[in-house]
Amino acid sequence: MSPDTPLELTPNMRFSIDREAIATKVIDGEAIIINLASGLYYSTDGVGAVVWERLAVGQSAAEILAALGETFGVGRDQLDGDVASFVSSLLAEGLVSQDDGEGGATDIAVDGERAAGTYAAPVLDRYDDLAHFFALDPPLPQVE
Amino acid sequence: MSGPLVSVILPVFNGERFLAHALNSVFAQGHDDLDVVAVDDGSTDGTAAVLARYQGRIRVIAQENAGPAAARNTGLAHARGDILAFIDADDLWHPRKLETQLKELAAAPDTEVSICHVLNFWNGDPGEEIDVLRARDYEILNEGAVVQAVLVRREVFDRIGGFDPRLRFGEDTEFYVRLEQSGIKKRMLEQVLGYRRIHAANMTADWPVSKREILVDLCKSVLDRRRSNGTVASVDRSSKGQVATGLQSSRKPGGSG
Repeated sequence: MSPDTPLELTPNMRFSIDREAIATKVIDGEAIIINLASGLYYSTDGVGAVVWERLAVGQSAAEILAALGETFGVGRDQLDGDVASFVSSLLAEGLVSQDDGEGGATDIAVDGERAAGTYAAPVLDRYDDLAHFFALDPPLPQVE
Repeated sequence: MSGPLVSVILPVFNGERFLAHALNSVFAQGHDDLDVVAVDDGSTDGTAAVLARYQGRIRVIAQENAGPAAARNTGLAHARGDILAFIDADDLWHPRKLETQLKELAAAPDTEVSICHVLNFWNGDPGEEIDVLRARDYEILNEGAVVQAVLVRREVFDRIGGFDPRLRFGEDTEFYVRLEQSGIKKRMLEQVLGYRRIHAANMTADWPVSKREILVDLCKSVLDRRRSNGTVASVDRSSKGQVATGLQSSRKPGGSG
């Protein structure tokens, strides 16, 4: 899906993370996400990290939007658009896929505290400068 | 062989098993002007006794366990030489490592770090190590960025800082990232001059999980450092040019190493 294609979040929509291809952790309120296949890595904090964590554990779009609305007191119109745009980015980058089943519940390691903050539209930052450090094959002896 | 004073920093935690081999490979360099700084990072085995056998030839700094990054930083703080080298307590140096890399630094005065290749090997208890290796499904690892591959001028650390003590693992890869992105002049040697011993004690029980977390922690460390330097853009572009790292080759058991 292209980030330019509008995503309409339906209430029961869920997403899953391919844990073979994605390494991720939330550290001090910032979600760090590595696509091991591409070597790209991403960061998102604040609302983005909250959405990421909730997507990972299999929450539906409705559940995520309700929780964000309650936490930040932001109107649904703004929330729906911002979160849909953010999830579109996640889909476009191959970090999540839409799950037609019950959702892939996946625990994400969380370190540190998340500071309470005001609402800001979630943003996904992408970096590609460490790809050569992410070798796909382990440089260890092959055992016959 | 005399030459510039080279400080060799050796962090060790419970490394009694192979420590003497590592130290002997350092003294086998034949370099007269050596300043070997062993940092005992809170060992509870016979490490201290092994280090004591080298009294008069090495300096020992003992500290409470703080991890390899902190131990290397302690070594840096106590090092007297203008040129620095590193070895881990379970690794070995080729007999001509120092000589070869010192020539590299001398060949081009603006070269600030020489990086060689490092070969993985295992021996000793092949049954034990092979069983462990077979049981693991190794995932991605760094591209072989091991600290023992470098011979580096001290001022490099003055410019880019020491090792990140927040990282219990992957601190060497994080150091390589900073080195590469600092613009420091490097020369890559296409020779194996170091040997990284693979043994049961340096493979953690949950290795696959640990390696993923190492990489994620590395990314976070890189981003935090750039933010503190004011150099993070919303989207960073990849670095250009040749990557110079201490590469790891692999060798099957039974080969000479």
